[in-house]
Amino acid sequence: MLLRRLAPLVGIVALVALPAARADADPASDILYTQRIYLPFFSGKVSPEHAQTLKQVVDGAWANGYQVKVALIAGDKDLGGVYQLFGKPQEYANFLGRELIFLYKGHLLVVMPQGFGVYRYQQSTAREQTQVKGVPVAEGPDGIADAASLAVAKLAGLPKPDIAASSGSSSSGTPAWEVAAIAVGGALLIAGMIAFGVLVLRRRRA
Amino acid sequence: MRLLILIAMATGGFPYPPTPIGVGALFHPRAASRPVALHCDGDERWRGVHLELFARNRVVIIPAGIRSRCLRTRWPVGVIEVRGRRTLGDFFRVWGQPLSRTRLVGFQTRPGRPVRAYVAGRRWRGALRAIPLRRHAQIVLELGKHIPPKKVFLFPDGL
Repeated sequence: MLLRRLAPLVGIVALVALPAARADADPASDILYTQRIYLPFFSGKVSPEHAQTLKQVVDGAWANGYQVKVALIAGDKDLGGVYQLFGKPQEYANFLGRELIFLYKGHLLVVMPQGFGVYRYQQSTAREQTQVKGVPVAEGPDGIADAASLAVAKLAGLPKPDIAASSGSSSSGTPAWEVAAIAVGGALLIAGMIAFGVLVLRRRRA
Repeated sequence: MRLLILIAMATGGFPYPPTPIGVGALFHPRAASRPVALHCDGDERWRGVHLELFARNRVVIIPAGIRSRCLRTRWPVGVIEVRGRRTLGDFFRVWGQPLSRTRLVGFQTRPGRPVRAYVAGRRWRGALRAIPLRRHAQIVLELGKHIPPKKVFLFPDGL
């Protein structure tokens, strides 16, 4: 009975929140199928010395037999058409990994200001996720690059890299006010949908 | 009410699957820049357009390095930079790749299952080559299985 009453509301929520299967449009996949590292260039830039440190660590990991590709996502613009995944590094790692499955099946590390995501085709990455969980992510693209260097070294069993002092002067992607506006807008939308659903239920009862 | 909030939270995730990048030369066409006489209409400012190509349920990569006075790709991510009033046909002319109802880059189809175009998520019913490359246009071309197109792409600042 309860489910029957809720059906119209569930339908409305699902229509708004559940898009169908979609095309992909994230720049990182188009870079990583040939490169080992995707540096953010739509949402701020990593300075050359920090990028170089990361390159050395990633190359060292490969030389050590640990194949890993790294995507640094500093802001939502670096996700292009899948900007909804900004702030969800593990979800994006799963998404990106599946885009690359015909070209790359090794480890994939995604770093966002919010943390890390790890993916490997048809393999559990629970251990790797635990390993990188405690690695700090400092502010800005350089901070993300440094976090990636530390995480890759940890995963590959390499010595801790000598991280250059992060200037913190690079742009860090989405401003806080924009994130807040999106959050408030989303909350209002959901509240509106719920109110509409309650209204429909009341009218049905009447 | 709690149940409804939980449903809304649960469905607010990202359920749609990605489309993998295709393997082989057909899915990775080379960059080329044909000497096509294009006029930029005195427009000095580059603006961004995003183009996605899909064939046989796989992504086709648009390479970096396609260049003319009024069109260019600097990254292999589907972002085309445009000056002046250009169309999709201009881009394919510069690139030197086919685009018609039955041909998309190196792929062919039959007239009964033509190449489909979407602009901002909506089906484009006119000539494919006439699609205008307006600022922040999100264009999808598909051959084969339908892949629901994206409506929005976030462009880098300054485009």
